[in-house]
Amino acid sequence: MDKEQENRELEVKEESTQTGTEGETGKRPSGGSAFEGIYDMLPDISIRSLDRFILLCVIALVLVIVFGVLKANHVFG
Amino acid sequence: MSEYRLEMHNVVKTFPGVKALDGAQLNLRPGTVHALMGENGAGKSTLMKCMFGIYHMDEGEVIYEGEKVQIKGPLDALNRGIAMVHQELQPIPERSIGENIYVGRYPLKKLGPLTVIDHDKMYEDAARVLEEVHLNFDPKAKLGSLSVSQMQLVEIAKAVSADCKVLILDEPTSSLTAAEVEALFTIINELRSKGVSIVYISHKMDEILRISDEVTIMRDGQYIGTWSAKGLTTDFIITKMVGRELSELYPVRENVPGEVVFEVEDFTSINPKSFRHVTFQLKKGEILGVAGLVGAQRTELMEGLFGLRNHTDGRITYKGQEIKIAQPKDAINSGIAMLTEDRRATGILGVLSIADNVSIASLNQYLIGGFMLDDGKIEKLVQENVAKLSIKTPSSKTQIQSLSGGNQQKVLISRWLANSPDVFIMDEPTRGIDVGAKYEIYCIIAEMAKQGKSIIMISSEMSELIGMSDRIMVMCDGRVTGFIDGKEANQENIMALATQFE
Amino acid sequence: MEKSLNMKKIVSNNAIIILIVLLAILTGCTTQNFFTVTNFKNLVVNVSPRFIIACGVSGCLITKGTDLSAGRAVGLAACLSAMMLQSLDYSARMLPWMPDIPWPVALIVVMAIMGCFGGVNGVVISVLKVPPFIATLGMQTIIYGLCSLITNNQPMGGYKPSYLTVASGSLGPIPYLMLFAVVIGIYFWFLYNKTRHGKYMYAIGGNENAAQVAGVNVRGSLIRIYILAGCMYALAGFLVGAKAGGASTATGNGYELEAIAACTIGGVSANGGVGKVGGILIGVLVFEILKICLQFLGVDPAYTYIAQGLVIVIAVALDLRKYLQKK
Repeated sequence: MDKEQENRELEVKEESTQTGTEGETGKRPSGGSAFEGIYDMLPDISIRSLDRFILLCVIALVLVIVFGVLKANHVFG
Repeated sequence: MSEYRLEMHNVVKTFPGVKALDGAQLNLRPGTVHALMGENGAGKSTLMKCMFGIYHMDEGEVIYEGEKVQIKGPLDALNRGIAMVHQELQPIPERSIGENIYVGRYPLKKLGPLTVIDHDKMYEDAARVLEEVHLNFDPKAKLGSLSVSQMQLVEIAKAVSADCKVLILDEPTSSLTAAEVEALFTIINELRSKGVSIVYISHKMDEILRISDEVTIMRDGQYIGTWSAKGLTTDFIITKMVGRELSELYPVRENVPGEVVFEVEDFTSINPKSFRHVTFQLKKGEILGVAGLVGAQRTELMEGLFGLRNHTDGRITYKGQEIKIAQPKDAINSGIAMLTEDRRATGILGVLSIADNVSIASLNQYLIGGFMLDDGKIEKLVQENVAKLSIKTPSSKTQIQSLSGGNQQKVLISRWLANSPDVFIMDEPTRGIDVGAKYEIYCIIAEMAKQGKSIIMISSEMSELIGMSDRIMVMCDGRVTGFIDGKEANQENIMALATQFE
Repeated sequence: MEKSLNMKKIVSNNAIIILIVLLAILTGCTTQNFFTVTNFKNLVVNVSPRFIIACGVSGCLITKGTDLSAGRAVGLAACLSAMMLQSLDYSARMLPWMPDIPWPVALIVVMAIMGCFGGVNGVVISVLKVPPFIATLGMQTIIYGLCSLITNNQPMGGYKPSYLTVASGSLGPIPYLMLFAVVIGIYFWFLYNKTRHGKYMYAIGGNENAAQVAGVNVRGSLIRIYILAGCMYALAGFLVGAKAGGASTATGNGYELEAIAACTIGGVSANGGVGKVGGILIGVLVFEILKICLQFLGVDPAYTYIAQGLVIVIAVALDLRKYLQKK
């Protein structure tokens, strides 16, 4: 089980192990945006798969730049 | 062949910022009921989760029936004969009782080339299991049709049905009636005579002393010791759980309540189901405990007084003058402070530093030329509080979220003290805090009261209320049902008022 | 073992910056005139208005909001400035009745107007509780519509020489544009680190509910933040117009995306409560240097767009990674 999930579980357990909460402390709309807590709403992405994605994008970036330069120097058509 | 069926040795488990288990251990003999005790946060559930493979241990080993094992998860544990009834039920209400019992391990049969669930066998087995635990439910009925306590019994049946050799019960009687508890004990006795090792995790002293053969006590993630249940007393257990003598659980209080400073009359929420017609008075230098069951609306009442919730009727009189509170700033300007129930959600500014967290509510006091912040003054404030309240932190620039719960709470208290409030509302001030820090916070509260501040303390821990309050206000279902003097308070009279439904 | 772990951490936190530095070195080595004062001035002049816009947006981002109206606001500001500062003897004057206004006055007027738009954003977001993404998206189109209306979709030019000098002139070796950026940078640094407003802003971003309980006037702070952002777009638009010598409804199109991305690269997390002025500057530089390098290398602008898009995605992914790690 990933560390992040363990941490979250421990925290949640810590709070709920107490002899009952009095119900939510009045859920107020916090004026959220598409950004607020968007990172919470995403499905549980492991850091490892995120790393792979980042690496992929970086490679793509390098490739795009290289292609662009090569094309400019008429190495291709 | 070892005399123990299951052993856990030197278990260490760390999460960022907290060492949940520090050399914990557990040794289970067959045919015994072994109680596992400790305060909230002692590590009992964490230890069980490590055994089950839900958490991965940093160090330590599990030896089952003489062999070192690595359990991969609940289903693997179940297949080996280790079953657990969790504190938080995870029922599937829309499915039948039988399905809930066998979820994840349905009996299968072959239908031609396909493998399908053998429903007939499942219900047959389920009926037998329910009978074994003396439950009269129809296995085909929906689980959701049962009451919470009945669902808990089905959970227990589920674990028993697995023909387990080790059965772990985590707070099994939290939702059961007295009669059902008896039924449970009968089952436990039967299992014990069959040779099953039973781990019984509970806070209820009387049950523990009745049913267990051995008791293991944990504190702050550490193994304190194992004793035979014969001859154990409640006091002995509490002393070991808490780490200090009973008489020293709460500090000596030297505060002397003076005249009334804060009066609330007929305070009613705009929500008719919430607090209504609340009237009470608060004296200078007094600690007023607020007791009640879950749902008594204590938090809601305090939030209403602090301006976080709206109210329709009611008057608040402070130092003889009526004040109107529509938002937290009004309350703060009047000299009221509030430590909220859930510090993670509404207390700490997690990503900000300790210095920022301490100073945020009192920034007006640290200005140069009326608009520029004096970092030196703020730093001084932080250092003063770190010393006064024994806050453990590497520096004032550390992010508050990396501190332990107790230290976070102290930072929040410092935040409010910077405004020199006269009335300090605290909602579950020691929740999720380890034993040592709890005592420190009690001392802080006592000191504040001695200096003439008035404290309103909501708590769900009886012992804390009785140990710290000068007076206790009891609420039930949104109404104040009574007041009890601190010296006369006990579990019975508090509960009596807390359950006085209309 | 410890050392290699730290290296990994440094690289992953600053991957983009390292990449761009490498790219800059590569470009400098393989082309002419890259590491020259002229090129540096060119960079500075391009970065300055972008930096100002990014500073404006940063407040919105730090409080877990966003401002998608930034680009169009810059455009409207450029057009408003144009209408007030066209040469008196320019034949195609947009507002023939407009008297001769000194450019500082025009600047103040534009800032006031765009500040009001910002205020509307702030009120809609903090009082009406509309999600910032939606509120500012709406404002973006409204501003664009207004701009079309008042300019009749006519591009404008023919500016007074004094207005043009704002962008082309220098104080000694330092371009005026850079001075504007430096002043704004210092102002924002001071605001974010040494004033109550700054602390309240970070508090709201860190945990709005907790800030509320601690007595922070959340509404007031948010409205101020969006008003300030509006003023920054105004200033940037004013400068962009002067630099280009003209303005139209197309001015500023898409600027917000780059500004937000620059902030993210610079450490302003989309999850709120975090961000420094120095980081914003670095973020803006990264984008501009990327552009200039690819320009120097003769790369087709289409590739540059793709590259910029990838940089944005990487920046957000890295930010998400930091957040997940902390959890």
